[in-house]
Amino acid sequence: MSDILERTLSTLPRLLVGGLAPAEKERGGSRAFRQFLRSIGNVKSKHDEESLVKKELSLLKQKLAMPKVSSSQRQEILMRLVYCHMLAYDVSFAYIHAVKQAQQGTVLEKKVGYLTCALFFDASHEFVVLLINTIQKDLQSSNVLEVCMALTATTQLVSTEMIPALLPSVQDRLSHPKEIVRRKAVMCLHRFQQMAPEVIDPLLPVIHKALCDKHPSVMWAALYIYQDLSKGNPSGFTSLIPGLISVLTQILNRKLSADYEFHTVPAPWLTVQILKLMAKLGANNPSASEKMYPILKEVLQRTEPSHKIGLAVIYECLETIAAISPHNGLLELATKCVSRFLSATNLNLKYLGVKILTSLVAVNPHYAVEHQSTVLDCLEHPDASIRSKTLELLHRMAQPGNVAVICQKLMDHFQQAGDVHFKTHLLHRVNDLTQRHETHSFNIV
Amino acid sequence: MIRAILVFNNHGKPRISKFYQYYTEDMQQQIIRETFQLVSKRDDNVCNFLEGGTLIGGSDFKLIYRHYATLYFVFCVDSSESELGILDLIQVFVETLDKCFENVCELDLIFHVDKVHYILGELCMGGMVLETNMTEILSRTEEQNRLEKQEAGISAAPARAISAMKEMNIPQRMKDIKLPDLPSIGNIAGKF
Repeated sequence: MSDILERTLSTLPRLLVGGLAPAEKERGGSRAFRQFLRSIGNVKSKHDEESLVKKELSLLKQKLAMPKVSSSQRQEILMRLVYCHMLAYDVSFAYIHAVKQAQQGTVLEKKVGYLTCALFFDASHEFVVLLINTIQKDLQSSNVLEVCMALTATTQLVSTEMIPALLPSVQDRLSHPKEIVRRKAVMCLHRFQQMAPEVIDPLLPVIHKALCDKHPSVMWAALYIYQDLSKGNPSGFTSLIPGLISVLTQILNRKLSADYEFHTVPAPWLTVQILKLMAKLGANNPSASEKMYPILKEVLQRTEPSHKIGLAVIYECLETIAAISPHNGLLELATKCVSRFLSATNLNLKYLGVKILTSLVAVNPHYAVEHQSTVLDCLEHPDASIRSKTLELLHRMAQPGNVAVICQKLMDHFQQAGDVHFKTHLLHRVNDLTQRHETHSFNIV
Repeated sequence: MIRAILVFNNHGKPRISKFYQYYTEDMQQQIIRETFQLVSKRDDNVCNFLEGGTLIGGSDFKLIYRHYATLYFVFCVDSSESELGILDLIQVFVETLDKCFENVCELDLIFHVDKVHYILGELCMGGMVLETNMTEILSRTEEQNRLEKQEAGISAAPARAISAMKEMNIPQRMKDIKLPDLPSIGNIAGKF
């Protein structure tokens, strides 16, 4: 009886679509779900929670098995299961329902199906095989929503062995008229690249085409692939540098649509990606680095530091300057910028100041000299994250003249530290220093 | 790369968890617990970055988080991500949730877990940042809502379904105008 009543009540708001109970509908969640959550919130022990969830799970299992479950009811059951799953309870009985939901029904039902599959299991699960034909079919759909969800599902549910089956369809979507589809298809290829790098090699021409896409967001996605490609073989991609410089110039001159602006900074995330790629391409390559010097200086000087995201760009630019073949003028400029981070009252900026100084010290230890007193302050800072980064910097600053003092500092912190992981880390650092400077005498207690 | 996005409340109860890399179920639970322990013991006036989680990926990995009233939003990322970039991405995520649910609260994240994940799906894909423009993310999730209304409407109230379909055309047209409106980058194509 109560079950019938409950069902009637839960369908009531839907019968009154837009009518009497909009607030109830907006809040979402059926009465039973709300009640379950309330009880979960009130449990006193893990044992009580377990018995409550087990009861809920057996109820949901029954409901799923009923022949006449409406699509919206099934959707809600699946969402209730997602919640139980997040609390670490076994919901494997529902996997097959999630798969079925993805395989058939309306776009919305399929979307719920794909979502729950991706949350419940991953590429290693045997059920993924059941989905491959569906993904394949949806990739070729004429409905943009279906293609997009199939592409998202591909990044979450496909294993290395399945790549060959899906690659042609994904590749085909690179020439889709909609920008969002092209962009997601490129992201899919990047996922494939992470799983099996060799897959990408024959596709270089199409990826280059994506990089030159008329829509900047597709180019942005393609940059991820080039980041990984240039990790292994930076000299093979130096031909990209003039193009990247040109994009940066256009960003600085605000040629991109205002959609890419964030707090008046033009395309900050894209700029950061390009700077990261430049850092890889210019490392140990003087001729490649030389081309970048003017634009890096321009980025540094023209980026508005008024909002944090502007500082994200400036920070990345400093990292790039430290990573490529050194240019004294730029490095001097960079050291000046570091003061702005180090002296900031905002601790996020201070943290990044210590981090960038660590990169600059790797180029030349003397860049730390003018910041010495700030560094010592940071060493005693109440924030553990800043302390730990400063110890890293100290380790990098070690030279024959100061190595004994630095080791002593590291050991002091070793004795104070409570975290085992951090202690081990410190010991590794001290060990490294003593080995590198073994000719010097140490006097560590 | 973003390895995981975790949202939990001040008591450590998970509200959203999304992993972009494979971890066993047990491991996922341990990561959630460890992350909560690490983040919750930090004061609100320290920096938003934290290293030292042992489970998710060792020294190459970092937690970047924000604490809003009762909820922690934590992104677990590797060293290739920009700290300040991710921090603002969390802000974009939260603002989008807030727009979508009109004053988002903890319960919304549970009742509408599907919608939250659709928003996340537009924000990042395969662990990489996909979209950072809130308007764009909202307009994509709106498509989803329209579809939902349309499908619920057909069975319950046909008149409403029709109006939903009419509504659908207007923003669609607006988007079509917006898409080719990017003259600048086309120029560089030749220069690559």
